[in-house]
Amino acid sequence: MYEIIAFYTFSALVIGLFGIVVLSKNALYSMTALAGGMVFISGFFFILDAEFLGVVQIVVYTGAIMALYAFGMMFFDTTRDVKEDIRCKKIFYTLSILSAVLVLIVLSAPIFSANIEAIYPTLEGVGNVQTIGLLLFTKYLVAFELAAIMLLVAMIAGIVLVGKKLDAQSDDLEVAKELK
Amino acid sequence: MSAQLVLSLSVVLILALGVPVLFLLSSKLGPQESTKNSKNIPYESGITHCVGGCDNRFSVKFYLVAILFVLFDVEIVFMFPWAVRVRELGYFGLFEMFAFIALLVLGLIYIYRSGALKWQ
Amino acid sequence: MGDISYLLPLLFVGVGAVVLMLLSYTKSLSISSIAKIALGFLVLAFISNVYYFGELHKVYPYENVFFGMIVSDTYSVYFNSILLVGAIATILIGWDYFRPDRRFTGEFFSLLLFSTFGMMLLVQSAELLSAFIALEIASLSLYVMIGFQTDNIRRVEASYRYLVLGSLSGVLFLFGTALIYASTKTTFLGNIGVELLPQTGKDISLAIGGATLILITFLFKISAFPFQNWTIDVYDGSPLPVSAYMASTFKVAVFAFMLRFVAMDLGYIKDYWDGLLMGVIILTLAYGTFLALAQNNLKRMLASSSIVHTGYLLIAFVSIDIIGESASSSIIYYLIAYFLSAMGAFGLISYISSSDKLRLTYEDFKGFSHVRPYMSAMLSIFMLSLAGLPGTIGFIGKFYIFSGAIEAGYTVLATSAILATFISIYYYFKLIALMYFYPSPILSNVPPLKGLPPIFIGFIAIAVLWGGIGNTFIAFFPSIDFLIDVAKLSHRSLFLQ
Repeated sequence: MYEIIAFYTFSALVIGLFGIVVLSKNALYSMTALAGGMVFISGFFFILDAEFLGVVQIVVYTGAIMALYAFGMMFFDTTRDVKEDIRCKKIFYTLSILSAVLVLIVLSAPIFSANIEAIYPTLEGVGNVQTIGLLLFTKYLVAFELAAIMLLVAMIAGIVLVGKKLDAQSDDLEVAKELK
Repeated sequence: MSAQLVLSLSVVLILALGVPVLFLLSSKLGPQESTKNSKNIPYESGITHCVGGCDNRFSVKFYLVAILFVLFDVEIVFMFPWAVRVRELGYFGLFEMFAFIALLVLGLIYIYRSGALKWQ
Repeated sequence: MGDISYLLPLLFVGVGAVVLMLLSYTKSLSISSIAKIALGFLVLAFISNVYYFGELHKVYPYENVFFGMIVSDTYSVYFNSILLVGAIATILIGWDYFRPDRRFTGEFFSLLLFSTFGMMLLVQSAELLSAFIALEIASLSLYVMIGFQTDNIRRVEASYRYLVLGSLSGVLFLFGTALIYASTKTTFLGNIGVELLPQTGKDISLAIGGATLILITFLFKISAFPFQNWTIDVYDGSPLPVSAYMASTFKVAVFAFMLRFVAMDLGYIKDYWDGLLMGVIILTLAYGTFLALAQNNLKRMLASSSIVHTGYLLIAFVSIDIIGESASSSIIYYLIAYFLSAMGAFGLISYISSSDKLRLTYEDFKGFSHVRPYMSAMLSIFMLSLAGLPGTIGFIGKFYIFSGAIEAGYTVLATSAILATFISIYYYFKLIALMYFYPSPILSNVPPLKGLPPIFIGFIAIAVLWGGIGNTFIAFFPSIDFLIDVAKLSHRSLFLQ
């Protein structure tokens, strides 16, 4: 029952937030909605008892989005569209108190419903992260080490595709200085 | 339900209700200087002149930093499942993790030598 | 020697790639000395690989550590040799092409080695996940190698196009792996087939769907019909040695993996694909031929004709479950034949155009034989071999494939392939005719034959001829039959326990 409610709540939230990403004309709204949507997607993984994927979702996607978000904040002319005028203070207060109560419910929920179980658990009894740890370092060791090499190639790719142009510009500048 | 539980829950509830109220009060009680211009720009330090809209082009170096951040982020993600099983995996797992980190440290040395970390 | 000797080729290439990566910003090393270091590592890998060439074996090195994810058998040794020769050839062919003023730096060679490492690993992987990562290592390095000259907009466009489409097809591979895991609970080659066998008669649509998704990735990487649109622009946009490298080695590596996967596990599923693949083959042949006829640029013509060659190879791929060993050995043999001819043709064109930023069209070669007779002779040999005329290695390759297709009962496919071959003579011979039957030369500033690349290309040309006539004329000469025997041996090594 809880799982069903959670699933539909998360679905509605994710679809709504990603809708904002696409439809909003303001970059800040889009990015905030994207980060929020990414966090809620991790909720699906938690419902399926795949905590590891949920954490990865938060760490990688939300982390990465936040990095881009920071740059977006720095560069976009956000003053143009965002007007922070609080007209209805009552709504504002109500919302903040409601969210406080929501945090409380989330925190105390495990006490009242310790018997929540995944509908389709990946493995009975054992935690998902532990299982992955054991598998990743025994059976799938090669894939794990290869991932490091793939990351290395990605590093070179980033440096090569970005760095060269900057070098060229600085070289040109030096040449220009020498000519003077 | 035990009294302890009720107590702790009510403490959390009071905190949860109190913090936003304090936030809102702080704007009334604190120094009233928010009309100053520098407080109203989106990014209080750093770039002062934001120009252009979403379709603005900016240096690719920022993306490079973001990409490098994501790469090392992924590395940390792989440490997580190792950390929860570090006892069972023993020295074998430790060695494998070190090999993994060593490869990425070599990558870091490469990045350092390439000068991508230097901000021109 | 212990298990390590089976891993030495991979280790040499991998360590070489990392060393070159670290050396790439050393100011005192010139680009040619970095190329020499890369060559050194590749040659070391090749020597350690050739040690097991032609020896029937199948070993899972360090099975208690690697859990049988990496395999070394006659098959992988055979393909690793081709891949290593391809990487060595790329460096030798581009010896004059990779210059600092073209913005080639040490990282390029590091990426070349990384990509070779990925391909070798793809050939050696006995499991779908590590195969996926190997494929991604190889493709990721290739994307960057294509767009390495970031100041050239055409390179960047080709790289970007390949990156977007290639990653999309990579995702399909991963999704297919997940579906196969869902239905068989394993990702290890050999076990998948074992798990599928007792499910005969039941609903195995999950496994079929997964395998089909992997097939789509495969068809994309070898540029078969519905997924061929990227080929011409990407080949045309990349630096010539990189086009040569892509056309010859990458295709070989992907074919090697798919051949292993299908031969070991998907014999049962393959029946579902027959109609699909037949359509794909006929359309690939037709469309590739059409594209090749329409091109005026030489590089684009070679790129489109590589699509046609994919069609030929797929014919043997279809008949593999009927005639088994001889089909897969004919694929392996054809891959060598195409590898040599394409490498030679791309290499020679890159040598001719290495002096300036020329884009060579057919017209440029008018009367070329009067300026550079040896170069024209070599180019003609490669064109003859690509067209598949008797006396070259291309003929023997085509002969095995067509006779195999007829033997397996795919007469329609064989007929359309022969038809495509006839038409291909037009666009290959056009170049020969222009070179020899026009009096006045147009190209005048072609560099003369000197240095390393021409010697190497001449060596390839001799190999092409030797593969075509060596086995018929010289009785006691170690002939090309040797390669076919080893190809059959490699196929057998797949099924060793």
